[in-house]
Amino acid sequence: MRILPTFMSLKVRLIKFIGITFVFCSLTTTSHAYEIGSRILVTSGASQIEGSAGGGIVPWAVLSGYGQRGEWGGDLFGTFIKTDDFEVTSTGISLAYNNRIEISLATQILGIDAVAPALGLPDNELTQTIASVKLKAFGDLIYGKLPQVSVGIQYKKNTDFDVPAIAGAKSDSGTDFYVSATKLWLSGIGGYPLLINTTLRSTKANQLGLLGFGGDLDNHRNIVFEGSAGLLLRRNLLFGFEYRQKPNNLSFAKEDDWKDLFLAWFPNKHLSLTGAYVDLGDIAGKKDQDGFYLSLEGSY
Amino acid sequence: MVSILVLKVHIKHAMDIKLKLLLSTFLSILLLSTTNCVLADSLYTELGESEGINGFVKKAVELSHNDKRIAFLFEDTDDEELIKQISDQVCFLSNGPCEYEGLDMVEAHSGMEITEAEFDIFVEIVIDAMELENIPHTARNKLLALLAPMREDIIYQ
Repeated sequence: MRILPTFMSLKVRLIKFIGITFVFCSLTTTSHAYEIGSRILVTSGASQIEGSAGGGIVPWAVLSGYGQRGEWGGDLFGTFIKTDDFEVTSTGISLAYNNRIEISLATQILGIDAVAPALGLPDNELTQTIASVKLKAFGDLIYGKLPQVSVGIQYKKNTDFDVPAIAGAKSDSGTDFYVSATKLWLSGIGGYPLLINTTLRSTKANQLGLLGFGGDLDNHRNIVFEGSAGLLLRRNLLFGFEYRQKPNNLSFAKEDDWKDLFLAWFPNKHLSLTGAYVDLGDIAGKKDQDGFYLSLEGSY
Repeated sequence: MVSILVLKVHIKHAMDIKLKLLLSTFLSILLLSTTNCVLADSLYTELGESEGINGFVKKAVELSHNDKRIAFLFEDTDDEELIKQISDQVCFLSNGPCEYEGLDMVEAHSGMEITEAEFDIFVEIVIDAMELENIPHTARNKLLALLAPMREDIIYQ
């Protein structure tokens, strides 16, 4: 009998997700009243799950949209992840100026129908809001010898702390600090441009923060490593792999590192579509959570 | 660098078959693309020799005139001379049988005050032109990699 409500709520979330992204994309693709930014196609990156420009799960040093010096840019995005037992929906908006600074706002919903009734939890969804700022420090993604290096802050706040508290989390909010270095080598491998990104993050977040911050095992900040590697198979098609290390703060269930294999398509500067296979490991005691990732992004 | 990253991940999750599969897919694509590198002709040949190069350079100049964002930069240029100079330079850079005898990049762009945005727009026009003239993706990127270091001598002169 539990299959039905799970299915229903998944369907509702999917419809919401598709609806929101459709509105986003039609807004951004139909507004030709202005000139989109000058940076080269794909250099906007996609929107990572916390709302910063990047890959799927890792922030990169690039700024959202296509704004070059003196220009504005940004994006709207909707991302949906479905694993064996969970769904994550993330939607957000960002604004960038001068190819220097990016601000973004995102909300995430984790559907926990699979574990909530069995554990007697009061909610079947965990949600949080994330406000982020990213600042390019130096370098350039393409030009010159140095990689583009940016520093960023992601402030996260749980909507409801009941479930994270039961899980052993210590706080309903937390701030991640990160530094990302990203480089795209044009000649790359046999003429296929190669993108490498490395990110170091200081965090207390459990499962991105959806399960609160800090925990009974560990209530200190952890420095985690995140990386992305991608090949530009066509001028508008990026294929790659991502890895995101995670802290392990809660005794009730171990948290695994995340990884994904993605294909991102940029048909034009207003639109990108990313599909991925994700492996999120064990989540809240449920083993081997792998599945698919789908993200639509409208850039302006 | 990729292989170190991949190896680290690999060791950590040696038991994870799905991940192994995932990584081997990625590595095979990396390998496939390197074999392309070994078997490839010289870049000059890949670009279609003088005819191919002349073709996309001509197209790029034409597209620049039609792009209202940067058309003003080409207002006073002698198109034939510009096409010859750029073609010679591309030919020379791609190891073709040419010498570039024009101005150096700082002199050639002096007084133009070209911005990063205008530079990127022109790069994208060159990519469009190469695509329209059927230059392969890999050859386009190898050429762009040779042209990219000129940026600092071109912008804000």
